[in-house]
Amino acid sequence: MRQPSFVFLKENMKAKTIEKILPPPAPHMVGDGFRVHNFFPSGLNMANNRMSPFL
Amino acid sequence: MMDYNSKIDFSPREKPRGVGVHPHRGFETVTIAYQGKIAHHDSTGNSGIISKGDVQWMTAASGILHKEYHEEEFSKSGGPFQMIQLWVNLPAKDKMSKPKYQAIANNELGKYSLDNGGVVEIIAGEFKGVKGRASTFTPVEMYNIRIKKDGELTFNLPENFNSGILVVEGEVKVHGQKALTDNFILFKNEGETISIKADEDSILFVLSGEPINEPIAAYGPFLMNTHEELQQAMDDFNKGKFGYLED
Repeated sequence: MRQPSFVFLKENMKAKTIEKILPPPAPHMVGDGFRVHNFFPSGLNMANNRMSPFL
Repeated sequence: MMDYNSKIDFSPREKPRGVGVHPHRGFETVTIAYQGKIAHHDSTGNSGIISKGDVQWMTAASGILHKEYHEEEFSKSGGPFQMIQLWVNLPAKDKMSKPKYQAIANNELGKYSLDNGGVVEIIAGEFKGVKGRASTFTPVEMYNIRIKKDGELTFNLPENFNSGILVVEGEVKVHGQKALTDNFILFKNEGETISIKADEDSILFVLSGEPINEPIAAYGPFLMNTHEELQQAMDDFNKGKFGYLED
C-alpha cells in the first residue's frame, strides 16, 4: 500500500533525543505575587547559553 | 531564564500582590498566563492586562522600567494563578533598539486543530504551516499544545535549536518516556522529530530557538555583551535614563 508522503518524511527524520526530564526545582518568591520555579539557568544548573536565545 | 509559577491558589486580597518597579535592558520578557490575571505598567506609558490564555511579548531593548501585579479584581476574588515568564536574548545589533510591546490575546494566536479535539496555539514561529503572531529578532518556535487524553502528535523542530517542553497540565509520554505535570523536558541538539502521546488531557509549552552565539555579560535585570555595556546600563539607570514610573 502506498504510504502518504508525510509518513515517508517522518521516517526519514531522526528523533530529537531527550537529555533529561526535570521535576520543578524548589520555588522562590518574586516580589509577593509570583511563586516561581526557575527551570533555567539555575534549575538545570546549565551554562548561561545552553538554552540561548532563552536566558 | 524561565520562571514558572505552577498552579497555586492565592487568597483574596484588597492590595494586589506583585513586583514593584524594576528595570530591564538588552532582552525581551515573554509572559504567558494560564490561570489568573496580571496587570502591568511601564515607563513608556504602556499598561495592560494579561488574562488567561494571553501572551505578552515585551521588548525591553534599550531600557524600560516596569511593574507587574495581580490584576485588581483577580486579587480581590483570589483563586488559581499560573504563568510562565521567559527572558529572550537580543542579538547585539538590536540590544539598544526602541522598547516595544506585543500584546497577543488568545483569540489572536495562530491555531492548528488536532484530530481528537485538541489545538496547538502558535505564539511564534510556524507549526505545520500555521504561523504565530509574535515577531521575533531571531528564529524562535513557541507553542502551547492543548491535547486531549490518548491524543498523539508528531512534529519537528530544527536540530540546532535549543529546545524544551514544559508540562503545564496533565501527563504525557515523549518518545515513550513519561513526563508529569510541571516537569520540564530538555532536548539534546540531536534529531528533529518529537512524538507525544497524552495520558491525560494536557497542556504542553514548547520552546525552541536558534542560539545567539555572542558573548554574554549579565547582571540582575541587564543582559548585555560586555562588562562595559553592563556598567553603562547601571550608570544610565542611576541617572534616570530609563524614565520614570510610580511605584
